[in-house]
Amino acid sequence: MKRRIPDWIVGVCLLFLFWWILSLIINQSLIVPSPYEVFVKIVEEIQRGKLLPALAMTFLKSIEGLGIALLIGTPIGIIMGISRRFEEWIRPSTMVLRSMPVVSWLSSVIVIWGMGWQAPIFIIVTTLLPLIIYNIAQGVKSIDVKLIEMAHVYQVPNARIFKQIYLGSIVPFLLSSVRVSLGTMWKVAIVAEFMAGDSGLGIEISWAKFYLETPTVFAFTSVAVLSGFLLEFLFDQFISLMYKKGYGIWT
Amino acid sequence: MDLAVKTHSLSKSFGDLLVIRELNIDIKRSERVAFLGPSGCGKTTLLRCLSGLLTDYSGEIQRRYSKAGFVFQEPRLIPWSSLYNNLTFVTQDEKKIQRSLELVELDAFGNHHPSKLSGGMQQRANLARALIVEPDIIFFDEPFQNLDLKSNIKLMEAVKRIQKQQKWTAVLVTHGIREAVVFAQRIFILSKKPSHIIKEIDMTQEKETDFFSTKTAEYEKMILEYYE
Repeated sequence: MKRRIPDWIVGVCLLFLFWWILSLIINQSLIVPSPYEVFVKIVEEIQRGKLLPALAMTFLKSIEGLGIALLIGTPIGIIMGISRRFEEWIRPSTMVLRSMPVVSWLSSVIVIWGMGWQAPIFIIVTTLLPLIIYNIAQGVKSIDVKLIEMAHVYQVPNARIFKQIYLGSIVPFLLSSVRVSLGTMWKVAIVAEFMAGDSGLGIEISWAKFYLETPTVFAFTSVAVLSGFLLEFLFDQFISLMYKKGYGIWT
Repeated sequence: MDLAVKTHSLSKSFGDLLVIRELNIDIKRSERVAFLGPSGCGKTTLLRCLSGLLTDYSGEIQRRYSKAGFVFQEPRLIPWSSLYNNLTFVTQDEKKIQRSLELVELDAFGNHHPSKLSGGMQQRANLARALIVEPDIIFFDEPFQNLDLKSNIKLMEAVKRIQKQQKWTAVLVTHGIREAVVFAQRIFILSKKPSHIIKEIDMTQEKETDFFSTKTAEYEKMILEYYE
């Protein structure tokens, strides 16, 4: 039987074809460089020792930001899911956080910390926080009240109810928050580095833009996009591995 | 008379809707009783009052037992925990867990998650959880309702076998007439809302009733007349 080419490979080929045709039509690498030029630039930047350290810096900041957002957002989300009153107290702040554009934070952040690693982390945290809080609160609200009633019938201690029912219920919501956050944090980190960072992919893109090196801008951007995909792919693999091992029956 | 539960003028309303009217019931220790009635007549409400899950009723309920188990209509197992962990949720005593699993013949399935168990097995797990607390009484809220006939019979046999060994009081509510006849030593037939007892049938003189025996069919026919 003839083997069919997977659809996602066809999709990737189409993307590169559009890009290539566009670069041919425009015919100016200052505006749209060809995929080949960008590939050569990526190899050059790796050889110059610039690309991989920049990638590592952005990755570290993103993960730190995500970690802090999870640490702060999870307990707030849990309390918000349990207490209607607390939810009303917190809702305006989270709504402001959610609607606030990244650039609005930058002036304050630059005044406080200057250009450096703190600004991107702070902006990642503020961007991810409302997303995580709402997801976790939703998880707590979705808890099966019949399970809680069963626990009370058997006089199960509150700590055990919290651990086995509450935490168990929010796991899928926590995982989906992380899954959504992975894409968002990567984009936000690069924008924040671009405007207030001192290292990472964002700052490299900023320098390349300053010197009108569009192929370099495309090279770093392509690496950022690929890394984002890779991160999401690895996370999905991790989840399905957990599922296969029976740790993630909730997924 | 050694009683497990006694009610006096028990009534229960939800707002203006009177669900249970003036019930006077005595349930003896180690007895198997069944409350039988049409769907929506307030059987589950009655069971929840008797077990103390509902407390805002009028009248009096004397509960003369210390430990109670509850077999819910739906298994209420924690879906992301294995069967074993569902039981450790109630008690950390491994011996009790093992014994309960053996009693309901699920000892080989401790590592399975609820989704990997059949409906009948999930209900037996529901029973195992009730047994783990070493109860004096177990309340059964239509536990056989969603099961196929084979699983239904198997679960009922398990309940009767264990009840005879351990001598706890069993209170069943159901709308399945055959289930009540096979299961109970005493059957209370409830009317439509507002629910009250229209007939009490003493089954203690009957030998073991079988699900498919002519005697069971005769009882079924007789009880159906009260429904009309």
